[in-house]
Amino acid sequence: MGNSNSSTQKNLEIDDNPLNKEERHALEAYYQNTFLHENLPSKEKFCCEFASTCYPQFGAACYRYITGDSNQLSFQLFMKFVINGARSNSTKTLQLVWDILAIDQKEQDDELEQQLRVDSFFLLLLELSGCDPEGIQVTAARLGQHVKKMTRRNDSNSIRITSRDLINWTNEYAPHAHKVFVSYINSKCFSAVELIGHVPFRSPILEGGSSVINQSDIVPLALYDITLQGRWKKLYTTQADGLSFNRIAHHILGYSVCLIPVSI
Amino acid sequence: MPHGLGMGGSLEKFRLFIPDTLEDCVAHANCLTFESGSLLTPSNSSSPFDLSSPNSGAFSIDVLEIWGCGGEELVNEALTAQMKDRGDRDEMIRKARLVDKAAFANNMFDQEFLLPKNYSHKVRMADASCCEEDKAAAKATNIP
Repeated sequence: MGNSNSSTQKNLEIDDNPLNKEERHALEAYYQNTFLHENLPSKEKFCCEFASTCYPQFGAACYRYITGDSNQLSFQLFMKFVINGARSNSTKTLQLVWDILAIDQKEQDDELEQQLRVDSFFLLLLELSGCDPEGIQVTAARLGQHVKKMTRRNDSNSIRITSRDLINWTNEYAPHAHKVFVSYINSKCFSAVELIGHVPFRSPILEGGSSVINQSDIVPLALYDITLQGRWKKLYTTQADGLSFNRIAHHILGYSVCLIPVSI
Repeated sequence: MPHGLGMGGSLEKFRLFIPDTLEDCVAHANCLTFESGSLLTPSNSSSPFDLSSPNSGAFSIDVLEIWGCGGEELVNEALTAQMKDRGDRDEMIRKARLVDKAAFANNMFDQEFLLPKNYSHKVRMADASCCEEDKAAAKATNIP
């Protein structure tokens, strides 16, 4: 990297840098291995690395957000992005995502664009939380409608949904939403390091499959409560065990943690 | 107390109640335990989590699934506890089925009232010995 590497090393010596030595080395190694091509950061590589199926422009929007007018990626700028995204509080992390989604929509910031941005936010959230991108549009739209409904309930004059409204909504209904983005950045940039004290978001997994619900239905529940993340164990189903209260009691008695009945 | 599976609300009015007959199940839109909101899917929606319009009342079960959550560790712990609980209940049932004959033999009440035929000889022997004692006592009193 020559001169750019030495200046990067110098810039890393900042007092409020929350990354420890191991993490800085890991991040630098990731940056060099992923984005540097013939000593030049590659925009295409960046866009490809942060590509999203549901929101295809996400990688390009991230790049534009990080580089600004200069359109030149540097390690210092990338590190700042990672720190803001994965080492800040939940409000800053969510604000960062909101601002990235706003990159393409600055000039036409009307109600429809705001709604689209909210929908894009949830599409991205559901995709990064491990849902199959095929079936998440309905859930994302429904979550967007809920944000709108709750925002109007709190302030009947509100027409547009702002980042503050979305953050207030996540604080109340999805307090683990920011962890999805934090875990995504951590898994990309710090996969080689053991992150002490970081509890990643664990996508809920319906063990054995379900005929009633799918994963995108339960991710909103997992965003609300950490105990609903990870493995979901099917204790009883009418199709396998028979429609009888005796069978229900047999399969749930003694299981004392958390039960979710769902029926159609 | 009603028989069935109830969640939220009170014993008189559960938020969600599945009776032991699995018929006339009830879901209310609000209670004091959980936040308000419809638990029932609108009839024109395909998703069980479409709660766009408030809907409450009776429903019938077509398919029911019950999922255990809590994370990997807690799920494993709960399943182990469930196995232990089932073992304990089986042991209790096994013990209840066993008849402790020794306890019968040592309990005079059980001998006389629960198994009178089996232990009738004991009663006769006791009566006979009483008679012998009475005769002996009478004989003794007649001695000048």
